[in-house]
Amino acid sequence: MTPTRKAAPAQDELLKGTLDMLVLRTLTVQSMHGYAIVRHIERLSGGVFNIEHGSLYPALERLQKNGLVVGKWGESPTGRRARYYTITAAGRHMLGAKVSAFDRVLAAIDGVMNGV
Amino acid sequence: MSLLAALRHRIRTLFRPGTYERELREEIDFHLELDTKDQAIDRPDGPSEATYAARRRFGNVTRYSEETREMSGLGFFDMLRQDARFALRTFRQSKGFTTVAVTTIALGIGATAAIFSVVDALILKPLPYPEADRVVMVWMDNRKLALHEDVHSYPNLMDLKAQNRSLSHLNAYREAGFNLTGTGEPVRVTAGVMSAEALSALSARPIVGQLFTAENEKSGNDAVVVIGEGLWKTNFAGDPSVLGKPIELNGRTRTIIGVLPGTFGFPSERTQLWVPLVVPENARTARSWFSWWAVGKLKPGVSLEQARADLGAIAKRLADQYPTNRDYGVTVTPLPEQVVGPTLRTTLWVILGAVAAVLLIACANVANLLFSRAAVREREVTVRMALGASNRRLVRQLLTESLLLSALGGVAGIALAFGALKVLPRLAPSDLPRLSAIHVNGTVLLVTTAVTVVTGLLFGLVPAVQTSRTRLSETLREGGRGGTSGRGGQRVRRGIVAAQLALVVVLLTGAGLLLRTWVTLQQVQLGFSAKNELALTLQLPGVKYPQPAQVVSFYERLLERVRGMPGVESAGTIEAMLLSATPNSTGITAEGRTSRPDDKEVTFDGISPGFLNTIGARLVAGRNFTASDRQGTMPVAIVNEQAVKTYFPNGAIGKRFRYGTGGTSDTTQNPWVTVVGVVADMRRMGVDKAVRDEAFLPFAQTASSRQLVVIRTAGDPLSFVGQVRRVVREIDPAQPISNAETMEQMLSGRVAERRFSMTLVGMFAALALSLALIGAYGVTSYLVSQRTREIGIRMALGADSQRVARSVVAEGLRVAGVGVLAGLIIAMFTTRLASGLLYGVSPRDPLTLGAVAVTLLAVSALANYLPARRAARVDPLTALRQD
Repeated sequence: MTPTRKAAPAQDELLKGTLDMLVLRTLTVQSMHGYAIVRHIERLSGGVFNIEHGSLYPALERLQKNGLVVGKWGESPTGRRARYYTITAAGRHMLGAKVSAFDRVLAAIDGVMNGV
Repeated sequence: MSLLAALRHRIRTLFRPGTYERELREEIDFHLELDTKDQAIDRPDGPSEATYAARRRFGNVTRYSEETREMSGLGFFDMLRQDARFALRTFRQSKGFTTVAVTTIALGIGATAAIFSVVDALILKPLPYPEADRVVMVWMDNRKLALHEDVHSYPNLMDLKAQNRSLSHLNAYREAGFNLTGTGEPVRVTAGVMSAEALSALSARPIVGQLFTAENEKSGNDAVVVIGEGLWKTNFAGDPSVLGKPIELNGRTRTIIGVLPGTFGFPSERTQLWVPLVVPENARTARSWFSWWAVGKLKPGVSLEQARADLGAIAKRLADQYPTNRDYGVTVTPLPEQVVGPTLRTTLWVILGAVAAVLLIACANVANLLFSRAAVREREVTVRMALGASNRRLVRQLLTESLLLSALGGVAGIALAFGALKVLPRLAPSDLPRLSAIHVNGTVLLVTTAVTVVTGLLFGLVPAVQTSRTRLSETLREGGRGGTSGRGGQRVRRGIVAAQLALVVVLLTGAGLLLRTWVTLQQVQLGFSAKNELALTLQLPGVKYPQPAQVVSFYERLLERVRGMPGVESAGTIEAMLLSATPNSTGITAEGRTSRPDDKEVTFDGISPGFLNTIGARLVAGRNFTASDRQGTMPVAIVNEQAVKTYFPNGAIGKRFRYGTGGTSDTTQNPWVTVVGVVADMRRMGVDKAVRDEAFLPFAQTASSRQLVVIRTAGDPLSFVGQVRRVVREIDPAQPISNAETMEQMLSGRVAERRFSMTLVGMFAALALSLALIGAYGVTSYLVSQRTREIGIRMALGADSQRVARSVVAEGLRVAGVGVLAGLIIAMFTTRLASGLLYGVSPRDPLTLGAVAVTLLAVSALANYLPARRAARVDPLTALRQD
């Protein structure tokens, strides 16, 4: 199997950044494990964000590395061992920053599309 | 707070990668399980469908796992670990290569570290005195005797002190030996007799109490003493209340007023205590009585050159003012240079050069080894490249290998260095300055590490780059050869061997020259025998033996008793057997001969009647001293052949001379001395120095209180020490003896430095030779194995095995010849640098050079012979079948 080429860098960054933001937001609702996070995003986005589940894990690793979330092993409702992720204070802070940035982008697009 | 979290995560990942892997897998499995369950809800047709759907929704598990892992930063370490594990596996597979390589590096680095420690301690490390490089020893430059470090007369020194503008301190000191009594067994101690100013020039700081002041230099006020830390610990158990306690030195009581630290080793490291210098009245005005050492300190901002010029000008003024000062100048030497003199410095730099050469040879060896190995692994490397390994990855892997190799070698080398430094002090002369300061220290470790890393990169890089440049197609073709085994590679390898041999030639020549010097010196006739003789020193304290007659009586009684001991063949005394650089000497005027301005001074020593017999000195004419030559009888002397040549060319017996060259006709103060005997020349200044004009006086007429007693015994001299001590105690219970050793030990002490350097260089030459030969053998061996096919073809075409072997050896000799020639040329230029260490042999000595060349060629031939024999035994069929 030939190694898959990644998406064009800029698009990649956008995707990564957006995903991070979505994960962080999800975790402000409550701490959850990986599967729950991805299902939450799918559900609330009305099925539009249909990412490959696997792509969550590199993202989570990145967030942990930067101290934005903390992962801890716990017990699932069914009694199985699962890793639960919690957002940290820095995570919340970063979320705010990312949201503002995103809003700015939206406003910019809006300006171009609907402006005179 | 989250910085901590981030850090914790990274650390946990780094240190437990296995756990990380496991947990990630568990997490993904859990994810897939849940998803499968969810999917199964909409898929009643089978659980396997659900599993596939979950899998599909997840995406490529392997890819995402890897991506996650890569994100965690473990990737880099993974690669490193993989490289390292692979390297170790290849080391285990080729044990021979690994052992040789690691040993070679270990020897090179270990030797470097050990010798560098020595050089560091002796030369590079600053002396334990603040601003030691501004402290200077001031000597009189005695041009008449060609003695650059002679001692001063007190008036001269005081004039230098008063008139100079470049020194903040300048004052006198002496070394002395005292009999220490009053605490335990009487023992002889070495003392510094110093003026307070001399102590402060060295910025001496006591650890307890205080030092003496200028007040103590007045007669009557000087009953004080400062002891050293060593003495404080052994005799007073380090008790601070030692201040105020009395001790007896030469029978005189002094009070301890302070303790100096053990690191304060002035005038020498053996100095155990210090007393104030009291200059006797008659010395203050005696401009021609030379017996004062001087130490001073440069004023801030004044350079050594300025001080030299300043003091030199004053000396010239004094020479113009006082005729006795004619031909006297001033030498100023900074203290660090004084402690480790120029000869020792040259020796050490020579040795360092030798070590550098050995290290180079070692590196070259390993480079060659790696070259050869790389060529052998060419196949493997090109296959990996064909499978997609990047150039960079390959280079990194090969580099990891060589760094690992040099790391292993470095660790082994450091261990070797520690071991060597334990053994080295035992080989070194015991009076090597600052011997105690030698140990492996941080600087050495740093330098060794640097050398290790550079070595690793050096011999790892070139083969690595060469290999990666290999052209794929050429190598993969059957029987094809790549970059490192081609023509160019062979030439490089041969070039390295030739270079190694050249270095070995230089080293061997150096070692050979030193060896010849040694042998020449060993054969120099001493003029006296040193076999089976016990030598010990006694110093009678002036307080107890004020009259000369008492001194004479003591020694005569001692000699009589000693001669009566069983096993003693004869005994005698002399003031000093081996002449130091500043012996007791003075000019003389021979009767009927006008003094010449370039007349050298004659040394004088008092000897007992039996002395010349005891040391086997040959009386050439006249008679020996007898018991009737004593105080009050006619002054007589025995001179040596050298003095006869200078002063009594027409025969010496019966001729007379007077002390001094002034020409006073006052015979009561300066009587005529009659020569009654002539003794054959003895080399008392050292085996490599010229013989002085020497004269001997009957000890009964000189009555010096310090004597060297020499006893010739039947059997091991040292076994008589106890008995002699008892005899001395019978005569005077408080009299210690010191420095009991055999005459041979005393003599060998002088040449110890030379023997040390010769041994070291010899060891390095031997090491270099073995390394170079291993290298030569390895290269030829490899070349033969590469050309097995060619050899097979040749033999199949009819060449006989002898011819094949001969051609291999011939080729090897050609390479050796080039190397040896180059080495000889280099040697002829570089050995000149060490000419200060040679004696009786020129730096370009043809015999040594020839012997080295022949040896090396012969041994190279041997090193090439073994692989050649292997080549000759090649079976053509097997060779042709080989790939």
